Amino acid sequence: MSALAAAHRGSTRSEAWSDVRAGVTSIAPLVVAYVPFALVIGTVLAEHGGIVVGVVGTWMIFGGSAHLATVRSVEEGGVAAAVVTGLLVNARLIVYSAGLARTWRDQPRWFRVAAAPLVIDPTWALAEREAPEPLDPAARRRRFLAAGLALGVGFSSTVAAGMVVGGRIPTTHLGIAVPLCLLAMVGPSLRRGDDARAVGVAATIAWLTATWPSGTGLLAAIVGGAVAGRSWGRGG
Amino acid sequence: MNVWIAVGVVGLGSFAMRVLPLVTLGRAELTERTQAAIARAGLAAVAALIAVSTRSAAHGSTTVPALAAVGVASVLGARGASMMRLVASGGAVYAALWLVVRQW
Repeated sequence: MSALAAAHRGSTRSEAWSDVRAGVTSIAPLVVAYVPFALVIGTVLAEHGGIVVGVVGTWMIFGGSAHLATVRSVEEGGVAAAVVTGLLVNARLIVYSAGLARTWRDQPRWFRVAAAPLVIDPTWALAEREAPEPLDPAARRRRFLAAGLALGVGFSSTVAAGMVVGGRIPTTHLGIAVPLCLLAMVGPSLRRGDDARAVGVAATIAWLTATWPSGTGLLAAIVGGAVAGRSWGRGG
Repeated sequence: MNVWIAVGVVGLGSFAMRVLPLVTLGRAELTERTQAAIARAGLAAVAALIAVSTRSAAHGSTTVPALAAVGVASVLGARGASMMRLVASGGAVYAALWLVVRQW
C-alpha cells in the first residue's frame, strides 16, 4: 500500500515538474525576445532611479513600458503625472484580467490573487492559447505560475544587466524579435474574420497614434479594435 | 524619493487593475457578446503592441526588412506555425533583406 502511495506521489511529482517545464519552455522565446527592450529599460533606469528602483520596480509594476514611462515622467512632470502615465500604459491589464477571469473561473481564489501580479501581454496570450487544451486546473496553475515567474526572473535579470553594462551591447536588430514572438501568440486568431478585423484595426490605430502621449494611443487602439471586430462581426 | 513613490503607486494600481477583474468577474454571468468583446479587446491590445514594437524596430535601413519580416510572420502565424519557426523565418527574412538594403 505504501509502495503504491509512494509510486503515486512520484508520478504526481513528475507530472508537476513536467507542467513547470512546459510553462518555462513556452515563455522562453519571449524572454529572449524581450532582452533588447529590458536592456534599454535598464540603461534608462540606471540614469533615473538606481538598481533597486530598477529591479524591485520591475517586479512591482511588471510591465516594461509602464515602468519606463513612470520613471521618465517623474522628472518631466512630477509624481502625479508619472502615476497617471504609468497607470494609463498599464490600463490594458484590466482587459487581460477580465478575459482570464472566465478562463480561470474554476480556479481557487488564492491562485487568482497570486497569479494577478504576473498577468501581462505574453502570459495573457499564453493562458488564452492554452485555454482550449484539456488540462486539469492544477496543471494550468503550475504552467501559468512557472511561465510568469520565468518571465519575471529573465526580464528583471536583463534589466539589471542593462543597468550595469548600459548601452555597450549592440541591440539594434534584436528588437524585431518582440513583434515576431507576439505574432506567434495571436496568429491563429487571424484566421477568424471578426478577430482578424479587430487585430487589423487595432494595429493600424496603434501605428498611427504612436506619437500620442504615453498609453493613450494604446487605449484608443484597444477600443477601436474591440468595437471594429464587434460591429463588423454583427453585420457580417 | 519621488521615483520610489511613483513606482510604488503605479505598482499598487497595476496590481489592483489585475486582481479586481480576476476576483470579481470569475463567476459573474456575462453575455456571449460581452465575453467576445473582452476577448477581442485583449487581442486588440496585443495587436497594438505588435504595431508599436514593429514601428520602433523599423527605422532607416531596417524599415523594409522589419515590415517584410512581420508580414511573413503574420502569414505563418495565421497558419498556426510554432513560435520558433515563426521567429526563425521572420528573422531570416529580416536579415536577408537588411543585407540587400545595406548594399544600396
